[in-house]
Amino acid sequence: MAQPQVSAYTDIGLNNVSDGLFLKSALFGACRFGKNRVETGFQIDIINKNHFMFSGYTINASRDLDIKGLPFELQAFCTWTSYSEILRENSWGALFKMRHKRFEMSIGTNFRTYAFRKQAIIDYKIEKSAIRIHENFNVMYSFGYYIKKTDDQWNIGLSLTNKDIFIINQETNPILCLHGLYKPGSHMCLNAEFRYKTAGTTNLAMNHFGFFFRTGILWNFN
Amino acid sequence: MEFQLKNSLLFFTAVSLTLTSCEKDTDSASSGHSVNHRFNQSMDWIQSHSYQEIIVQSDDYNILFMGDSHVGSTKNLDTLFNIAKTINASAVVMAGDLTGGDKKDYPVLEQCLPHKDSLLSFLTLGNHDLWSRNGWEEFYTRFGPSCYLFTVRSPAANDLYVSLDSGSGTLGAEQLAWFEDILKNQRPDYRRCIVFTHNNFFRFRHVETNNPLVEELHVLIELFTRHHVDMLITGHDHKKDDVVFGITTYIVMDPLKDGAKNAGYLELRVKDGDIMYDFENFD
Repeated sequence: MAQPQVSAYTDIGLNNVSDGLFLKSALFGACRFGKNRVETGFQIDIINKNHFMFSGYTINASRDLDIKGLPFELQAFCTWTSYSEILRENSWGALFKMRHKRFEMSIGTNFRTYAFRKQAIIDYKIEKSAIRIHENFNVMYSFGYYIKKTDDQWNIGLSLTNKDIFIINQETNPILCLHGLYKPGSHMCLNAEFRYKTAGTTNLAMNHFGFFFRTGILWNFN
Repeated sequence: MEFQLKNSLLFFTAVSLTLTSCEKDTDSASSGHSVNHRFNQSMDWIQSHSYQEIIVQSDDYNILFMGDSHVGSTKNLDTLFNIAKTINASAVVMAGDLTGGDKKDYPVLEQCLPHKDSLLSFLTLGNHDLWSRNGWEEFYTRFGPSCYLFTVRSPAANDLYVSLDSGSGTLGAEQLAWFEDILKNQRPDYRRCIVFTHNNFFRFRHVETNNPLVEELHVLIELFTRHHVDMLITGHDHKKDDVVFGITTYIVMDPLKDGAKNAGYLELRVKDGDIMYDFENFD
């Protein structure tokens, strides 16, 4: 039997390129069929320097696995982002996730393409060979630790990752993430995150880059 | 339960301490090493010294670019300066990681630089140059700003060269605003615009070197395209590469470091407004 789910979140934050506060929201719909799950969602920028409203779309499919009694999840995803009027980015890849008591880990790879939008190709007379650029086999990771073994009613965790839903950074740009969840009822889950980004970390010449707060809600229909 | 709680508390205390030390880094950075601090000092320097203009007699000039010399030793750097003088290059541009990061490297580099009457040199810094406790102070007091511009005036037209400080992985909000202002208000007055910095933009192979965060890349690529930046010349990756994306040629140079098997530099030639370049390697 299908188990539908909707979720939404809002981010508010500041970084070196945002030219003031940014505010964005995303809405997702998901459905679980036994061990399989599909999800899709989009993101809009409410306050953004580039004033570009629709800034992302994602779709993913995952399957729960059991390996030697331990639960794993294998996910394939594809994401389109558009943070400027002339440039878009497309990433697709796969993630292998696991949660063992307090520890959470995911690791995967993605293929990124930066490409100019159609109008920009015309406006700037961009040659065909210079329209897009690829970065292959980028490493994605997340290593986390939770206070509680299970997410019964609430939990708080801390993780180090280079990925978010619509932005996947290079493996050399880790993001520190403090996150918590609270379940006021069996159908609803409230969540909050604080993400802190630095630049230059792995080259030992570090600088603050930015941060944002995220608050979200998830609703299970079954 | 008590044990679990204790473990969790220990974990979060450790993380908090790490975060605190990061904040301290940023704080100490604001007194010496943050990119905003370096930018502001660079602007102070520029106010009292103004930008350099190179005047060439014909519309055919060349500039040598290098990066990642990692002084210590200066064999390749000396060779490069001799080549530059021999071919009568208009200048040498040095795109960061000029020292290995040790305090004693700075006077060695300073001593190696040719006098400006014999050969002009334009420096910017890389992550290694910030490694020593007073890396920025050592750089600034000896060589001046890390972000600035210089121009080349030929009989036919003027070209603009912009140095950006990416030594700590980001341009920072203030330098980005300065760069955007230059592109909007000064770029239209020039024929060609060439930007040089240390960090390479794209990730074509998996090494430990940083690139600008994706959010920053989006903004920079858009700026480069909208304002017709012809070329970005970088080092950092220690392996040469060149790719045209949009209307900009993105170049990564081989390192000039002594002992590197691929030690080399880039010769840029501007002739009648056309830009040509060659990667040159030492045998």
